[in-house]
Amino acid sequence: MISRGPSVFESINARALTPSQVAQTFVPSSHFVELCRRRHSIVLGPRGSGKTTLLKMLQPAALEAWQHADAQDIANTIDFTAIFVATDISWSEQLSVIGLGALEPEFTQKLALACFTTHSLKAVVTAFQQRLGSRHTTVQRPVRRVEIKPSVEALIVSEIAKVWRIEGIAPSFYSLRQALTRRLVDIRELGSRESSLSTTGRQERLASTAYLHLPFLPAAASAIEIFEDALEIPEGKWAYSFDELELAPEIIQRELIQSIRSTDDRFLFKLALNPFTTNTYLLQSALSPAPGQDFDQISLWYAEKRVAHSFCNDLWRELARQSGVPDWSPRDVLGASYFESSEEDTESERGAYAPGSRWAKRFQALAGKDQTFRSYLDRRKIDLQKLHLMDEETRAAEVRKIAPIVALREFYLRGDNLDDQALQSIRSRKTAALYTGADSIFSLTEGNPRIFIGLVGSLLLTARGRTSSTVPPQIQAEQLLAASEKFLATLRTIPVEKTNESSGVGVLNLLRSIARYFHDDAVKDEFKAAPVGGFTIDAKTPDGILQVLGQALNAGAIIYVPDDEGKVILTSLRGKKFRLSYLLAPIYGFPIRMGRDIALSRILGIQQTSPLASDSLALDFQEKD
Amino acid sequence: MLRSISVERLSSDWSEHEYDLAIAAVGYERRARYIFETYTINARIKAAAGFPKQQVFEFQENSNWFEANGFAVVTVSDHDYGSWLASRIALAPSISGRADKDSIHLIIDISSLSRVRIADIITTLRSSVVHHEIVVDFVYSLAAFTPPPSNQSPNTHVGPVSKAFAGWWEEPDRLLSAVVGIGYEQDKALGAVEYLQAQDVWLFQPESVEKQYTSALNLANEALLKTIDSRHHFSYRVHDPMDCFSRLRSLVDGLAIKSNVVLLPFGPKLFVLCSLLVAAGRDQIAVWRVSAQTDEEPVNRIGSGHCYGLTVRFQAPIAND
Repeated sequence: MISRGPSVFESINARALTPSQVAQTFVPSSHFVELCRRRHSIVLGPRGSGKTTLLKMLQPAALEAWQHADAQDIANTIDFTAIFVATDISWSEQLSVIGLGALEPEFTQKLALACFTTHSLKAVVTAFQQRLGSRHTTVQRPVRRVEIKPSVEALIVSEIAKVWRIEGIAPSFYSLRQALTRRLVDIRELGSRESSLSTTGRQERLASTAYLHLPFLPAAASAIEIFEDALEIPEGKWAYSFDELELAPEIIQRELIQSIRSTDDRFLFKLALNPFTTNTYLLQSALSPAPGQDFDQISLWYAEKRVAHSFCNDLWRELARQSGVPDWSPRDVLGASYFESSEEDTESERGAYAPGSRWAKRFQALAGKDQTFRSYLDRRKIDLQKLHLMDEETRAAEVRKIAPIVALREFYLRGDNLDDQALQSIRSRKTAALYTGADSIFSLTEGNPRIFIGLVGSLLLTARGRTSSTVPPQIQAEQLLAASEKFLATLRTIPVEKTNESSGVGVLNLLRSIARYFHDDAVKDEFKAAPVGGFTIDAKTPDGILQVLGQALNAGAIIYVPDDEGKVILTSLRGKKFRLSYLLAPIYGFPIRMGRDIALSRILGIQQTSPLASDSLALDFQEKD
Repeated sequence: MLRSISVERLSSDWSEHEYDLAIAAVGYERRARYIFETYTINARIKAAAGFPKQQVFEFQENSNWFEANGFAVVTVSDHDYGSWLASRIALAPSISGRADKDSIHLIIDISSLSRVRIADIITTLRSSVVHHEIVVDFVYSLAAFTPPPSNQSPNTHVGPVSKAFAGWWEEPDRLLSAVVGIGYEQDKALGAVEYLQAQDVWLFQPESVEKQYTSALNLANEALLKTIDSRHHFSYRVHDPMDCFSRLRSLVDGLAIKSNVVLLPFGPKLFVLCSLLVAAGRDQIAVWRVSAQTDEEPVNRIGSGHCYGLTVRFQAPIAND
């Protein structure tokens, strides 16, 4: 096999990157500017939406290394020190099985809490070290730097060690970090030892281990106070930033959410979460403090595709710079979308619909084989020979509005009626070619940085290796299909809880049922100007299906379309409107635009009100994608 | 105290050994009895454990066959499997007349065992209270090719294969490396890697005498294979598990210096065994599984006629003075 350079897995996940590595490629969005405000923030977004990157970029070391044109201005607005606390799903699994399942839940939780506290305190030490910086590192700008003498470092470390119950370490921040790492090992050993001991006396044994009982936020606050006092610097703001907070022990989640409403002004909290949670603490939180008053909600998704395009253009420029391609525009490289007028057509809007134009041919072709479209034209009194003669307003309302649906439908009905064979070929490159072109590809990425970098980055590398700037549609289609299939593989893997109401229903097969409904409504059923493109989760949707939908939302496979911009934390999906991720479109062939929405129960063929027995779901939940 | 492990090639005359204990699995596939039916295994104690669910296809015939051939057959849940095995091992020294010998010798057929049970076997053997060294010949019957399942039921478990193999990260924010043994279920490995959000991915691809597996593997993992650098892609021979174990161990040893490592053993059970042996007793390595569990579509696999294995010594704990 030919070497292809670093794996995509290495380049598009910020979790393991150092702050300066994250800064090297960071493209600021309006979300980052919001996050930089001196306010509590809750950042909500599905996988890959850039939560980790945003939080990591708040750190002094990242801001110091950042070279973007806006870097200085943005860095100047930040008047707090960020403390970044990472977590991940594998660590979360480990915390849940401390003591190999042999301990009572209260003790397992106690030890998990001690681990998380230790990990979070280590992040405080990292933040101190970033404030002190390294004399040997070249930086773009110093950010919140402080000078320290060795004797002061020794004083700070020894005082913090007393508070954190650490003994016998050298008086350096490095040693303090190492001691906390060892503490994590000690807690694991403690759990294992306890699992083999009698429960008698366990309470007393654990009570006598002082560090297990360190209160999380006061322990951090004390260390910060010692740091600031010893260095004789004014009391500052510290932004405790927690990534993937839903993976932290619930007691930590509660404490942080409650702290948002506290009056202690030493800390700001920057919390990154999935869009959907069933945890009641957030429900309480959502009901109590008003978002916007106590904290800012920053949602990293775009219900309306056009809103993401500005950020996509910024990402494009940065990727192009990194790829070493000339100053080519997305249009130069990817061309026009199948669903929009081509360059030559748009020379004159009128010309785009004149007889013989691409669009006029599509309208004619569809009318030639689709009786329902002809009926639609008759009802609307649209003469295909005179599209170009309509006044602009009428053409916009009657023609341009339906043009993407005509294009999609004409594509699928080309040659034959749609049949099973056509369905089988749905994954072909030919089908994916429908969604090529700059505009469509930007829409398909949903403004999700991980998807964008993975897909567009590889297209730019392809462009760099070619003699002309243009990447042909068939190559775009290949890479588009690969991105969609990778997304499907992730969706297929997400574990579902087995309930009576959702037995046999996984994330992927539920989405497929919805996607096929959208496809059929746009392509197979009677022609309509606004086919179904969204769904509302109604009362008939069983609870078990709701859980699956929650996972789909957190994976970015369904997109919340809020009716009230002020509330984006979702503690219940019922009554809310969603659309499918457009990244699924190359597989299932549905329009990439907001359409009509209908009740989910109608899509799924559910007759009665929830709760519902599993065998009454009239769904074809087969995994064949 | 947990026992340390050493791994050796399975000797070519393994079927002529005298074993103290033989452990079989009563599964639904014909392959479950292939080894004990094909070879005349001399063991003083023979025990076979069945699964309480999915008692379809050959389950009853297998159970009958084991009973008729001197095996004590029981049905045990996954939860009780470790303690059932521990009780069999505890009996072995006295029944086999080896109470005063240095070691006891086991043969365990892993062909039809679940990943959970193979993990429990390793955990149980490492913590066994018998005073002897325990020498285990793990044997495996390669299945004749059957096409991959057309329908994949939704996963109900994506996580550590067992609590003992969850691993323990001393530094949770280090790079996460995934070492994946690929199987032939469509995009299962890719999905697992994406789910874990591993930033560093290494593939082990099996090469088998059953050539049809190769094209099925390539097809099922096409998307993943395209994204992986060739330097991160190894082949291993199913018929040489010792080589596979050595290569896997040396890779993981290197990775564990600077990353947290999760092993994702899809594909042949021998790779599962190798992964568990590499991870056993090493906190910085986790072993995960991705499964629909009892919702998985059962397939009646038959033995291909090829048997391979490994010998593993679970060394006797050193007595305290």
